[in-house]
Amino acid sequence: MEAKILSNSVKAVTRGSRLPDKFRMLPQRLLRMARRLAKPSLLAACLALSHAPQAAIVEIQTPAGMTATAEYRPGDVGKPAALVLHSFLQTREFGTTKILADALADEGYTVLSPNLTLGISHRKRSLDCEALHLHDMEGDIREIQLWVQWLRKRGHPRIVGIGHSFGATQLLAWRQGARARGFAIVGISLIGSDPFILENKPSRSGKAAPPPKPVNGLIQAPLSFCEAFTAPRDRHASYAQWNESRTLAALGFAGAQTDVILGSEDKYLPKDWNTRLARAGARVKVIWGANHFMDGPQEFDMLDAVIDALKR
Amino acid sequence: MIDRRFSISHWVAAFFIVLSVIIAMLCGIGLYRLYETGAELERSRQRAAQQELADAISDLAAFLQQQSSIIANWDEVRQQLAEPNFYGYWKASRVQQSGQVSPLFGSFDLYDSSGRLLPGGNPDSAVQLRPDEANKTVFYPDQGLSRIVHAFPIYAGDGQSLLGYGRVSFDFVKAMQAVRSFSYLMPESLTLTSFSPSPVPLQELGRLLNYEISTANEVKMLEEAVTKTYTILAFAMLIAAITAYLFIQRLLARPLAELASAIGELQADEAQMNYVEELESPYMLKELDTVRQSIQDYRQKLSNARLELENRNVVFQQQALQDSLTGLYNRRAFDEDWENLVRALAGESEPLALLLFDCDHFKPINDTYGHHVGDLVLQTIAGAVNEVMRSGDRLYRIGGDEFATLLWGADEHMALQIAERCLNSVRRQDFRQFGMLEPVSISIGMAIDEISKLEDLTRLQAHADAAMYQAKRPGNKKIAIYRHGQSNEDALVANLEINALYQALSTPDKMEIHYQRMMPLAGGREYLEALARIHHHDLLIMPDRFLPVVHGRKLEAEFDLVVIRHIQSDLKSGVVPLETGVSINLSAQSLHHPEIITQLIEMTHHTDRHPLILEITETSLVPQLAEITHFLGILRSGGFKIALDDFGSGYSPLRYLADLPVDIIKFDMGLIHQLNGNDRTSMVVADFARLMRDAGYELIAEGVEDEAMLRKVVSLGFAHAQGFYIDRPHALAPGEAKVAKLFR
Repeated sequence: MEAKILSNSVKAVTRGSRLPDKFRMLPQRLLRMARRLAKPSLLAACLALSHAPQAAIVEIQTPAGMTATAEYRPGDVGKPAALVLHSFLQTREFGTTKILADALADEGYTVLSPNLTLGISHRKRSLDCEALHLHDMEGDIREIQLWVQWLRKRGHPRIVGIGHSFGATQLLAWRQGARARGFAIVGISLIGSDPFILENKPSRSGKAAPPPKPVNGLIQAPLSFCEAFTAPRDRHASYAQWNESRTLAALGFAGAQTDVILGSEDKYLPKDWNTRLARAGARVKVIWGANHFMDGPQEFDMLDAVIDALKR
Repeated sequence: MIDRRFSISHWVAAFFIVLSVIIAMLCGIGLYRLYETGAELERSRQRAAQQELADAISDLAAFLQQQSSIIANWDEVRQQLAEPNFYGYWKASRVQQSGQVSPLFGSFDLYDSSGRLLPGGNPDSAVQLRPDEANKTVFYPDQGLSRIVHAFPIYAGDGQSLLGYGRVSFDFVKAMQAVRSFSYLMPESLTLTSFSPSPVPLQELGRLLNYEISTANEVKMLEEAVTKTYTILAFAMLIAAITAYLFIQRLLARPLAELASAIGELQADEAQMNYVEELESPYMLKELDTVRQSIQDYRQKLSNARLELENRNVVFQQQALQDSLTGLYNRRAFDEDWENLVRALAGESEPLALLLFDCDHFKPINDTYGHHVGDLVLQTIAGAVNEVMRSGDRLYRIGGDEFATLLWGADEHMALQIAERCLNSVRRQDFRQFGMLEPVSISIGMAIDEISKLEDLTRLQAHADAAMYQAKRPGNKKIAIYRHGQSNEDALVANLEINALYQALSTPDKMEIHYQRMMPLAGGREYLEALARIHHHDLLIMPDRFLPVVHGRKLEAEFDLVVIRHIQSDLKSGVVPLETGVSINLSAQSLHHPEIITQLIEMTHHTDRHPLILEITETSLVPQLAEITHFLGILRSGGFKIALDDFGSGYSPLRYLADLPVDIIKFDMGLIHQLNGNDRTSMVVADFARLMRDAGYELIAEGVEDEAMLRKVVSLGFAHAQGFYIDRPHALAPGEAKVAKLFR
């Protein structure tokens, strides 16, 4: 397995790995507020002025012959590297993930934001629910493994996995499968692959509907936020088995810290999810007023919570 | 010379025609420019359409490039190329729903890097992509414009690794319409102009296309609007021109034309006063109306003056045609009516009776009782005749005591009735109131004939004259109708004789006296009978031709006076041989003429050298025998011998011999010729001659034409004999007297 850096920005990142002192001395909260108030383009300009570490797109070849890409932004050596994983079928450009990666990079953390290939080389965009899904949970976990290895090869012994939504579940699945002791995970809006049901709907804890019969080898069945996830049955099942129960079970993996940040207004979460998570061993932080995507004013609380978790 | 002047109506019409032509030309030029601009716009639209096609093809190429890029960069396409197991399902259920592939593409397929169609691909698609199709847009002529194929490579995210190919096909026309909005070219009209056996790249497709230009609605609308505007303008101008023309016609042209015509009428038709142009209606222009009123006033004045003149003319004409004495129509009216008669006949034949009235013995009445009484007599006769004429018949006074009337459609019976009415009407008049002792009568000569031409009228007048001649003869009924066969009288009014007579009377040189020897049979004196001849245009007119005219026209006195003067001249000049007597014919009428009496008395100075005989013609006898007897006595005492001429011609009553102082009886030629026979008539004539001789009368025989007749008259005791056997009448030349004497 070989990974390569697609740009020559790594050296630049090394040279400019730190922000100027005057910026670094500012209270982090004020900086985040400034970013919040600014438009994304304006924010990008500010970041450029702040001599932020230059990002680089790195690639790795998967065993399936796919080319997976990730954005790599090296940070302070003394800080753990953050592997920021997007939610189900999304990319690193998804809002919550993007903000989080940027914030961590600004905080001096080395950030690696991969795009899971989902069976598509150089995948750049999110994959529609209606698309033909030929990827599976195992392939995704293998790619997480590759990127963890890539980070370690890049000299980051301390790696913290930060995942949003089902991305956090996939990190849990990798950690469990890889028996990666000491691999801390911060799960934001952590959730299983159960189909999303609004709070006023019957609890998803009820008995699951029987899977449909495949047509032409494919089934269309609810999965996570997709109402008709089209995929071969086994691949659908690979994701479907990582439901709430298995997720909670994965939290019990010994020897690893798991922080879970939830929004009080997240309508996709199962009932009493925070309680159940805590009971399963996770350190749960609930941000009042935040939704599943942690956008809006609660974004900063989410970032504070993540940084707090990283500092522990 | 050509009259180059035109009326104002023509000028006005010409002006508006020229104006209309100019407007029409301007409209035509405008329309021409409009259509020219339209044609230029059409050409411009052709070019624009051509450019539009080229641009549309470029746009289509760019569109295809963009769409192929979208497809090539679509992750799911790369997914299918990487794992094509479910390609058929994906293509059928996902491609269209994803919105990543334009619905313009009728078909879409993926091929692997070796150009092979992915399993599950469209059965209609080529299984193997040809290498020359890659990254090209190709048109297959055999499939028409509905199937254009665009193939493009699909690379991995690094942009270098070829994953496979995408291939779309589409309808060219629809694609053109989708990528561009056409303003000039009509995309649905795109057709192929030629067939190419090999595939044609999109960029070269333009030269194979034929198309139509969209209708330039704006230009068309503009053309229609301008054409409509011009049409309305032309109509408006036409109506305005016609209105203006009519207005000017009414305001100016017609009044001027009427005024000009009225003035022309004043000049041309001044005598007729028939004004065609009425100038009663006032004109709109004040100045023209003033002229109109002036002309109207002038017309009125002229009309009044003319009317007055005409009235005067009527009076004058009436006076000219009226006889001032009797109030009847005069001779001029008679002549005019004659002419009108000819005109009215117009070749048609119409019976007409001409009645001539003549007062008997008017001259003696006039001479005896004076002109005043004569006038009263004429007025009484005119009134008496006129009151019994038919209604509508005109009575003319054509001479001193001569009257005439024309009776249209009258036959002989009616004419005779009218004539008798007239005669009786005159008889009923009491002329004694004028101091007259003698009765007054009239004679009426009638001629009736079918009249159709002027010659007939002339002849009719001559016949009436002849009839009058008959009516005047003593013993007749005072009314005579012309009968055919009255040849002597036919010549009565022959123009030649009339003219000759009147010229001879006015110019005595025209008169010539011939003398015929009256041979003495018993040793008496020799006489020469003076016989008048008239020279006229190298003709010598004999007495039998002009004497009826003399009598008919009552010119006996004038005629006899001229003859007497000629004879006196001959006596004075010595043309008549000495000791030779001269016998002078004299009308009894002339014995009432004092001048003649005076002239005859003067001639008595010649009686010592030339014994004179006065031959009184019996046909000229008048009732006043006493008066004639008186005058004859005077002349007889002066030396004249009185001879009764034409004795035996049947008209001489014996009582004349008793009443008149006659010395000589001159036997008529007809009577002398009776002596040649041995019948009873001859014996009567002979006995009568002896009887007259025995009664103391000298006898003269006329018409002695042979020796036997001469011996006979000698035996009967005639004193003189006269006739062609003895001598023919001839003119006496100077010196002839001596010869004649020697001859004797």
